[in-house]
Amino acid sequence: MSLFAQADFGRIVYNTVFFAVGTAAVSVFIGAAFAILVDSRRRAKRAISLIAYLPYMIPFTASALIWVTLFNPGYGPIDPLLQSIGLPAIDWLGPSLQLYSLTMVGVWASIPLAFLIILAGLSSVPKQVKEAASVDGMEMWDYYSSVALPLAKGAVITAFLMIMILGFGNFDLPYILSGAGGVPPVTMATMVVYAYAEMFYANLAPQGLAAAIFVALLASIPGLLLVRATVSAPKKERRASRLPRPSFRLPGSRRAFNAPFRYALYIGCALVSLFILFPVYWLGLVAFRPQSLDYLLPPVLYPTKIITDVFLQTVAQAFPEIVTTFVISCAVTAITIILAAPAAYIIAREGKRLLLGIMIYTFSLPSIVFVYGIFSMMVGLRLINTWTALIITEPLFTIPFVVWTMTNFYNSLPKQYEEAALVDGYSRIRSFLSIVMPLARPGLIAAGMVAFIFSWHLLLFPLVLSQTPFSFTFPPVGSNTVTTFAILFDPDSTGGTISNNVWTQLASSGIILAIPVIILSIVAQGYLLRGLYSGGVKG
Amino acid sequence: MPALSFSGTEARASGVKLEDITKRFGKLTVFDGVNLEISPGELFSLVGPSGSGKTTLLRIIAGLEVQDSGRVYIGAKAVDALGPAKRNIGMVFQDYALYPNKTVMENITSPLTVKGTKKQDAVRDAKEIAGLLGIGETLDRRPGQISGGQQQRVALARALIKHPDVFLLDEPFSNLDAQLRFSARKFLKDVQREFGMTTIYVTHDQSEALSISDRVAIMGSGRIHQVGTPKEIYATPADEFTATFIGSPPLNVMHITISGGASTPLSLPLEGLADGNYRIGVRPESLVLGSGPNEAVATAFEYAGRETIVYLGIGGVEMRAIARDVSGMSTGQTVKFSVQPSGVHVLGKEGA
Repeated sequence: MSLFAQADFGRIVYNTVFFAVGTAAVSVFIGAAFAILVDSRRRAKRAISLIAYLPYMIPFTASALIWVTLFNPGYGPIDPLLQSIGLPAIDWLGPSLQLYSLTMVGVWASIPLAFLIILAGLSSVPKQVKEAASVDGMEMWDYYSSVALPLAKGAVITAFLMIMILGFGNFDLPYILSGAGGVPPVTMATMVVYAYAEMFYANLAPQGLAAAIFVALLASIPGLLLVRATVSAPKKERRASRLPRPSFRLPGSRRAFNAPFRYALYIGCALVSLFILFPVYWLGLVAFRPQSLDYLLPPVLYPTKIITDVFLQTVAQAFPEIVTTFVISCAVTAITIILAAPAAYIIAREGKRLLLGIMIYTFSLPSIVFVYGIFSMMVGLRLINTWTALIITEPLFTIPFVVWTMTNFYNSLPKQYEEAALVDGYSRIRSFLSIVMPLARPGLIAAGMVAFIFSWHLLLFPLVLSQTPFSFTFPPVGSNTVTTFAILFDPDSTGGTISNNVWTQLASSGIILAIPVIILSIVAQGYLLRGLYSGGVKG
Repeated sequence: MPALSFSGTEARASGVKLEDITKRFGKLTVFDGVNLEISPGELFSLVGPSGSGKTTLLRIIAGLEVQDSGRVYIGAKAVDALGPAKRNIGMVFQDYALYPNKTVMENITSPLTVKGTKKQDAVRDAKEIAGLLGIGETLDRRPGQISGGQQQRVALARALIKHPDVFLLDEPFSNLDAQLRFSARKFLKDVQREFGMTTIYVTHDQSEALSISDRVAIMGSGRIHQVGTPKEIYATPADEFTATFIGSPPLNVMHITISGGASTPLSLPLEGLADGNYRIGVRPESLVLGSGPNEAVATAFEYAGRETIVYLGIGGVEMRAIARDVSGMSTGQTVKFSVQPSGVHVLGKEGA
């Protein structure tokens, strides 16, 4: 028996493709605009970067939750804002619009990744080329349209494919926006959420697995393209310091575009900045005000009274989960680094492209593909609801990604140090441990942070491997993590057993989720930039 | 130059022999049967334009690249099966490859400590060699905190401290400015004389190779064109590649017709050549301006300090000559000159 009639299958495929492709296309467009803005400016680079980067600091779970309150009909703050400029109220999560709302949240959450990768591509244009362009009299539009973007094409493609892959596999956003558990509405269910509901709600594992395999096939398309774009890229030749020769258009051919382009870019980025900033502002506002202010008509949009006791109380409540998640994330990080660093080194130095391809492809597979097999294994091993279960399974997602980024890092490390070490009499292993590893420390730290963040905000696996899904007890025991804690406050959740509709607590748990990510991503920002996209433009 | 004596240093010179080395990178064949023999204790240069394979050949000797076929001998021993660590070589890399995370002292001692030499002994040796090379005060600093010239000496010290059988240098002076390079060259030569180790030196700078080497191998696109002393290479180039690669300013290459013992357009002291058309190379320094059987128009002057390069137009051909004294010459003027026989190289005969 199927949860969904056969007729709905097409609709779910449509939802999945629409969400993945729509999110990728729009966020790459916005990310590129911000990247151009930052790249073209001398001042305020950091401030603008921070705005474009902001959603990255809010884990998917937290951002989905905060958007649920933003979308709330009547009490949500968006509608009054729209009405104040003469637009009608919108039923954001109603059947006709929810897919678009979901995609909008996807875009919001994906802008940072697009921005970071494309900015890295733009900044790797050699300084001389940039200077030559300005000496030739190129202005903004001329330079970006005919020189910089063509050179950074690889970065744009990488960003698009990566976001599409993450869109196909995204569980957190559609799961929470469609009510965290139960039967997701067919008008917004993506294949991943559908597969999850079949497996763990309807107890129809075969059907769920079929759906998981189907979405894996979908994600394989961008996945294989990404493998091709990354692995078959011509190897950088160290000696070739030749500059790329872009085809310069005749100066003046599109001169008329420069001024409008600049205005459009500034106005567009200013508007999108509001779109990016408002949910974060709302998160802070709601977390630190008395909950009596939440359900008022019209909604209160400004801070009137600031309290911290709900936040502190939520921290105390979430303490077991915070400890659990922290320990698990540290262990996962350690395992990831120990296994991934040597693997990446061998891939980089021995040119094991096939292995790199397999890593990138594994990264592109949605986690829903693995979840049922792992769930069954953990049941068999009697590890359900233990830290061990999460510690040994999460590296499955962190290792491929870290191997990939570390490979880029090792590639950028001059080989001569290792050769000098070999001549000096070091063995391969010794030169790796005492010469390469210390030099690679910045890369390792960055990779470690990425692994930690990954593990910190993973939702699907803790959800499946902690207790039985949908039987949340409180206070939580076992291997519940901060993400599973936070979704307890989802106002629409059908599985929630604690008092619903407590926005203050919802926002507080969102902030708890975000804090370590904020700290780490501020520290790691530079490293992340370098790791995700290196090369491509050069050579 | 202080006397360079280094305790425990006895000349451990080993010859190096390459037999039928072939090397391919994918489809690209770099070497197809290269043979070369380097005598114990000599300073040998591999010189050629970029892409000639000189660095690859050096890396094959070091064991950093593995040849596809052929053998490498250091001393009497075939070292093909040995990694770089086992070949007892010292190497100075183009950008020195000093470990940035270690101090100068740790850099210099690393070849000893990795072998398990006592730290005390390693430090003593390092201090001694650092003193000899004039970098004694830099030992506590890191490579990033010392000058390019000092980095280069640290690299030399690190390569020398283990008394290598063969000392390999890959364009070690290319990052130094002209002044420093001049003294570094002399310094290297002194060190090599004193330590007496077999030294193989890779450079693209032919004048540098000629000035410091005992013998030179001229390399072009994976082939060794000529091996000889600098004098032999300069005076009797084996082929056109060598003749044109060596010399600064470069050789004047022109077509000459000989008929009845007389050559046109240039009258050259050539004997025993049959009538016909020839490609001839004339060294700029062998043109003696002032008098002689040839006349040309001076088209330009390039002042180069001690001497001046004079551009001469003759029969539609432009030639360069070197003159000590150009007073009384001016552009457009006709200049008489003769050619010294030693500077004339017959490069080839052309169609009948």
